Amino acid sequence: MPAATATLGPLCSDGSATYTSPEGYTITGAVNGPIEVQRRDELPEEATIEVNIRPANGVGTTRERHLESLLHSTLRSIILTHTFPRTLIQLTLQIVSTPDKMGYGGSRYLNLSSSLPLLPSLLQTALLTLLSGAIPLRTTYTSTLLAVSPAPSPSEKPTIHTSLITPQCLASATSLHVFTFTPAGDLLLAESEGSFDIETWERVYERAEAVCIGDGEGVAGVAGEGDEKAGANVKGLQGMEIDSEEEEEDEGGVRLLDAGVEEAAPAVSKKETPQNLGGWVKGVVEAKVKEDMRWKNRN
Amino acid sequence: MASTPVILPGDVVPAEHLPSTKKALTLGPGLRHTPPSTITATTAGALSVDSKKNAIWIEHNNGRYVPHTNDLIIATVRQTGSDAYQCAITPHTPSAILPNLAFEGATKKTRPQLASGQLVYARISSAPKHAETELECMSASSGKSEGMGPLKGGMVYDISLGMARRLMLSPAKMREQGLVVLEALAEKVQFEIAVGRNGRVWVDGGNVAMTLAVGTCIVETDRGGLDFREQRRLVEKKLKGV
Repeated sequence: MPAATATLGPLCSDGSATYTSPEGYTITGAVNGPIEVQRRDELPEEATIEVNIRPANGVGTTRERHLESLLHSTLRSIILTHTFPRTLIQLTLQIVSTPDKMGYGGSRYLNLSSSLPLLPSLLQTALLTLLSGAIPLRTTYTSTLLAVSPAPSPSEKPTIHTSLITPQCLASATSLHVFTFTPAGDLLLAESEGSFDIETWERVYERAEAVCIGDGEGVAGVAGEGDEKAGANVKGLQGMEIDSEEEEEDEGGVRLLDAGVEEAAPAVSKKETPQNLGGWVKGVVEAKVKEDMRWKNRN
Repeated sequence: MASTPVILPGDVVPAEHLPSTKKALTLGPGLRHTPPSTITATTAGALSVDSKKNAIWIEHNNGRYVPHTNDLIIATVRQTGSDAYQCAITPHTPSAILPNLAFEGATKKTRPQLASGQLVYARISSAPKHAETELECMSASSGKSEGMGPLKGGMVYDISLGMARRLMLSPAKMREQGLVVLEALAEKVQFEIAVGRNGRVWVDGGNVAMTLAVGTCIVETDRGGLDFREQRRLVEKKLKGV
């Protein structure tokens, strides 16, 4: 599976990032702010957030406006807007390339023209861009796409695909889901398309939680379903399961302990592949800080 | 500052990284306090601790400069008003006000005439959240200019905010931080320099060639993140032709 890659600061705006998802979406984001806001958009007590999404070709349509509104509402709950009243934080996301879908039936399948597969990449780019621009944030988040395809036999449950959702997989899916979580486990965004029942949604929710924040319990809950990927997740997350047990004992200090564990073993987390998306984001930032601190090497 | 853990927004600063003195803890940029005793990060970067001053902050190199009281900055005059100049600290932000009388020895009759586009080295006298930023070019207590005022000649370069902060350190501290470019330049040539916290540095080497040589040395040190041997090599190379 190709890993997601990211670069921080490729442009000369206040903050910028390029992100390539495992599925092949490449997006460049730029943020400027806090800057002067137009009088009609000015908010007396907080910063205005402007999100612009530009498609890979042509001009933005209703589809982009819809994605912009989803991003806007997510980012508004993340950015500490009251720090900069009467200013503007302007975020532009340019889609550079999208995976080729034409060979798989193109617009014949509704899922292939859906805007949901793009959403996690947009959210991830937006976060990295804001981190690069040192915009004060309440928390970080991670976002993932899940596809549900019909059960192979009537006695089994529908299959949930998590990582690397190919166009074939999209075409055969009955429903698509995007979830966004904060590291503390709060759900920030949940978008679903297609037909599914509440039981499937709950299973998808648990899987998404495991992918995003690597909660040991969530993975254990789905491991018994015979899905190879779930098994792999459990393996990678064994180290984290210990943490979650400790978290239960010691209420209140959850994040503190979590961060302490990561701090204590930075060498290990760098060598191994990140166990969840949150770990991956941290790795990207660590690499950037290391580059910024290069002048400190005096040898 | 042996260990500099990287933290992300929303991470709680672990208690073992907090300086353990009885003095009140000072929180620098990138951190916020949630009563009673939780300290959370708001920006991503390396956590820096100064146990002597009992201060803690997040070091990052990027982002836009946000005015803070007492920062020394290089501003550009945008407009000349009847009683104040409108100055730009960073592009696309509302103007800061520099009163005509905020210069050393300025009276209504003898005040410096600044054209639009002129550079001034000024201090931020107040930076309220809900009102305009105010600048001054003299010390409020002594009335002396203390090096501030209009910058004539020379050239201005954009550098990263982290580099601007490092250039404003004392020479000993600068060496300790591995920044020797200024020292290496000063050993060979004479030049004047003014560093603004807003990520701008003004250089005057007396002639154009010298100004460019000194300016590019500083900018390249910043862009390339050069260590101290590379800095000395760069200075030698740039000064060869001048």
